[in-house]
Amino acid sequence: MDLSEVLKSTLLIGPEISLIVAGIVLMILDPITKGEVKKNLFWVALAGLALGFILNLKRFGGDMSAFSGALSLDQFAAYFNVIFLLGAAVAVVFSKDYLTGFLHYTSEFYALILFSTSGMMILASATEFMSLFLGFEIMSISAYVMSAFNRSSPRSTEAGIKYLVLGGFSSAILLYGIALLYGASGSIYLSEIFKNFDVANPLFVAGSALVLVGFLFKIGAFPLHQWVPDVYEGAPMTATAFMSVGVKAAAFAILLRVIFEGFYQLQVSIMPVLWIVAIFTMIVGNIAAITQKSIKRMLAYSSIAHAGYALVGVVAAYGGKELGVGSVIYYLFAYTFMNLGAFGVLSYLSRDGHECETFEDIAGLWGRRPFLALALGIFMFSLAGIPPTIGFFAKYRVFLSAVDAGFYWLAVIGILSSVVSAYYYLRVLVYAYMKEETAAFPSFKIGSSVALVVLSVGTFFLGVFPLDSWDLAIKAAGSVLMAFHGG
Amino acid sequence: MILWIILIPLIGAALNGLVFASGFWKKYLRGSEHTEKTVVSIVGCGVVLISALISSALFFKLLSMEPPRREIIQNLFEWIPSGSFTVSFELLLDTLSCVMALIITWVGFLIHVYSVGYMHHEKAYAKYFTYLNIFIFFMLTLVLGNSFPLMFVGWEGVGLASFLLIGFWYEKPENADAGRKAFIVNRIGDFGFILGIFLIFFVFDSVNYQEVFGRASDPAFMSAVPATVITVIALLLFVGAVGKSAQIPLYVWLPDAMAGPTPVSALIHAATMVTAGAYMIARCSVIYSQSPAAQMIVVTVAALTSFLAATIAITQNDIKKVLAYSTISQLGYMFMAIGVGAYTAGLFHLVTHAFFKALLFLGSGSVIHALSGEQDIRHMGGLRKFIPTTAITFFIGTLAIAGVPFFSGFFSKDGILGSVYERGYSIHWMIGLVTVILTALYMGRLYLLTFEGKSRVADKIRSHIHESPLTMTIPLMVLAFLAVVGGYMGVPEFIGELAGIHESNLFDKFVSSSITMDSFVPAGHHLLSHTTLLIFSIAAAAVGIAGACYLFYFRPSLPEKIASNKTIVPLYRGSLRKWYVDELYDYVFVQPFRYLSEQASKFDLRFIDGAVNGVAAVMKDMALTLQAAQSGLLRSYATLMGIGAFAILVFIIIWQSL
Repeated sequence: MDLSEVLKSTLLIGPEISLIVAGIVLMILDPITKGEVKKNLFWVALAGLALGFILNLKRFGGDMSAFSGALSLDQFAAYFNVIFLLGAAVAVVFSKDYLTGFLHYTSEFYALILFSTSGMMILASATEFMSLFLGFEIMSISAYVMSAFNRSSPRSTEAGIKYLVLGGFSSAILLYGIALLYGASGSIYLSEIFKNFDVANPLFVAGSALVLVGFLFKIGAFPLHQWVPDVYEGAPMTATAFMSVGVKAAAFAILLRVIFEGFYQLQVSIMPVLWIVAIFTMIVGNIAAITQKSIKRMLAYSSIAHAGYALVGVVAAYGGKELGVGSVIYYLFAYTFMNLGAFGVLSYLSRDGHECETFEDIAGLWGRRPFLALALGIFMFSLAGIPPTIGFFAKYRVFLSAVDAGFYWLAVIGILSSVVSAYYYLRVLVYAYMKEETAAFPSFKIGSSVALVVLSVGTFFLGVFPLDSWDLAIKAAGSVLMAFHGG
Repeated sequence: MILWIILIPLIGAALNGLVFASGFWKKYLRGSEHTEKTVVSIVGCGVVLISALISSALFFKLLSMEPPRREIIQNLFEWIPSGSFTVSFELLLDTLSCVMALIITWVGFLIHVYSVGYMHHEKAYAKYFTYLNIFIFFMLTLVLGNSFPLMFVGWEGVGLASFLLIGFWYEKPENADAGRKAFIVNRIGDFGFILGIFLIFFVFDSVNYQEVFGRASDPAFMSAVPATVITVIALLLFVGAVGKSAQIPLYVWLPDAMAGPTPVSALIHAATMVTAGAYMIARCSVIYSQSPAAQMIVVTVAALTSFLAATIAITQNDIKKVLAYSTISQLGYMFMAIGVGAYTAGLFHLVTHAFFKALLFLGSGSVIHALSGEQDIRHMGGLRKFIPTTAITFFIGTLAIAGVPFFSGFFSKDGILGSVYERGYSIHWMIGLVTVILTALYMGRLYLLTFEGKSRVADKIRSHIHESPLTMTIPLMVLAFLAVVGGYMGVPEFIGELAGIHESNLFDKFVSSSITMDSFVPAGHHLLSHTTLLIFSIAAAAVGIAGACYLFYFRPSLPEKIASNKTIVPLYRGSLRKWYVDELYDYVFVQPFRYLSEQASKFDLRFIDGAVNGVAAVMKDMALTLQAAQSGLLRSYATLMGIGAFAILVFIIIWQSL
């Protein structure tokens, strides 16, 4: 790899670079500015994200690779990048209103969001284990810090510690798996591993299984899900919102890529595992959410359940089915809108360090903040999978692809378990619409309001006209399955 | 163009409903009540007038077209594209639907205008006009749709509007009950109707009129269809008609429907909606003409309904109830004609009936209005002096319905009786003739007890009896005019010939181009000649009127004596109590059904809910168990994670080596 190749590749990763540059600029500007300017530094973050978004659009045009095949800049990664960038931008806007209430060191938070996002983007494009691990760690370490960001809060600190220790544990497992695969194949490139894969060699099998475990941890799938409620509940609201959408989507992106570009020969045994994992993830997430007294913790369990639905799509992709892969990608896209929206409403209602998290905190919302209540209603209906919202269409696509691939029981159990979810989502609305108000509501917040309008309109509009974004998801699925079908 | 006929009333309903009935005007714009009523009246009546004008324009356009193909079809969009089954949203204006549209819009317009006066003191004025416009919209959809599903949409829609308007004063429980009764009884009929549509699709592979009727009149196609199937289709559709048009056994809702405002009774429960059944059968004339069995059933049910309702009308004391039973009876006439295949005769009676029955209902409304809500004719009498316009127009209506020569009812009724006799249904003809006597009798009674004789009005009310405002009396006068002259557009041929006029039945000539008549040729040699038939029916009317005058004018004490006669008492009591049909239905259907639903409710509470709650309890237990596993301790999480990772590893290795 000569210098010109490096330069060429560097130009190709413009989106990632623009985020990193914006993050560094923030870190420099933060100590040297003060007052109004300092408060408005979030515009730098938004500018970086916007630039990244624009540069990323070019990748929908065709598939490219950079750094001698270490990164695959294909439509698959581009679609995921849209999810990451959207999630990051909305998280920045929410954080601006949310954090300023009780913290004065907010710029670092934006920088962490940007770095974490750049890690996700590298992860989604990685086709070589070194870059993969790099992206994985950039994403994760930023997320650990974000979880512990409210350092005056014991819960936030506890969440950060737990995430760090357990995340480190999972990274170790992942790394061990990578080492085994390298030992077996002599390469860290997915394509090489793909070529030399030998199911009779236990090193390949064990290595792949351990890599898988590392990703399942980040997804928050059963039985590696226990950190999710504790971390999500303890972390600052907008950090939770960002992690539940971005980190999860990134882990799914790399899971799909590794399965279909790396060790697809193992799918005979991987898919049954994922079948069981998906079912338990859905059941555990949905049932544990029922009795939660905190909406935030309930949403944490609900995010476990949603990971389960997306895993259904992964199983349905068995044999390289575009519909299955597409449904996973689309599900995560949909989840970004509705889950960010749900957390967004909660962060809107939090003030001065008091987290809006119990059901009582939102009681009487309809009477005092009808538009906020309306948005909350749209997000909850969408999370519960009720038409005509994007959540319905996405869930429909996932279960349809499962039925299409012949996994009837998986679909049936999934749908039954999602019935349970209607209980706890609608319970939120019962409090918001039918109870008397018990707490005071904060005043109008312009940035969060704009973001919530975008999210709720998107949730509704894409539920009514889902086909364009769905077609893009199918194209993205096609690009990740190219190696699979080519080989 | 046709679209606008139905769309404009809908726009009116939307405007009145969203701006005024919703309270938006009063609450948010702080508009005055006076402005509200003015605008609502103008919009409510105006949209119907526009529809009426468009219908009239299209009527003249139809006239300018060549007779055999007088129809305009407007295809708007594909409504239900579903595999091999497609329904277009298509409107059809042929001579049949044109006549219906004219009646609906013009009579509807008069009744809207009347309502302005009648409902003036009503608080929910805007709501009333919203409902009324919605009704017009659905009724026009019903008649102008070009497929069975579209007719069904209108059919259900008018049912809804009828339900809303019957229960308009829903604060009184019996009014709300009446609305429910109408709706539920109609559902029985609708069930038959929709089964009929299914069967039509099954047999003819389409629900579009042209395709269905085209295939039904194609001998090659019909040779493969068993005659029984056609009869079943005809009877299923007839079940629908029986519900909507209040025939035996589903007529019981119509008398109760009088709980609604009187203009509603005139519009929906006399002139338009209840005639939808007759329209539907006329529309399906191709099918009915091929099933003599179905025709026999239709005509028999119709004759019995006509007679039974007349016997009840004779003893009722509520002015609107008399008219309600009279409506049922007159609908029976229409179905008799339609049942024997004389579709145009039936439709012509539909038209004249719309005039004189709307007139009578509006007249009764004017009486009720004058008497501050009194509806019992035992507390009326001698009202002619106080409200002369109402009395005269009501009198004209009475003569028209009684079949007095040269009034509209005479021509249309004799058209029916003539064709029933000509086609060999002599027994039905005789029932019809007896009903003519009864009709003249109960209508004479109604008029005489209300307007003539000594006043029996309570003193408190008598002091403020007043003639209705012009908005109410002008519609009465227009309708009275129509009730007199309306008959001349459809003078039956045999009467025309007596006067030396050929092709006197213009109505028949116009409408029949849309209807497939069966191949009936007048046999020519019946026992009774045309002249004799005519004499019979004039005599019947005369007997009825004479009887009414004798009993209720010259010897007013006589009816009571007759009623208390030992042999008559059971008959009188039976008629007064409507032959206990409501009680019978209550005993045979309502009570067992209620028992069944109570049992089902108990079962539901105990077993279904029990199962549901049980599942929920299990879920909650599981959730608590899961919660317990969530200790919050880092070391236990790490341990469980390690175990989980190990389990996945082992699983994959074992599965792979299998």
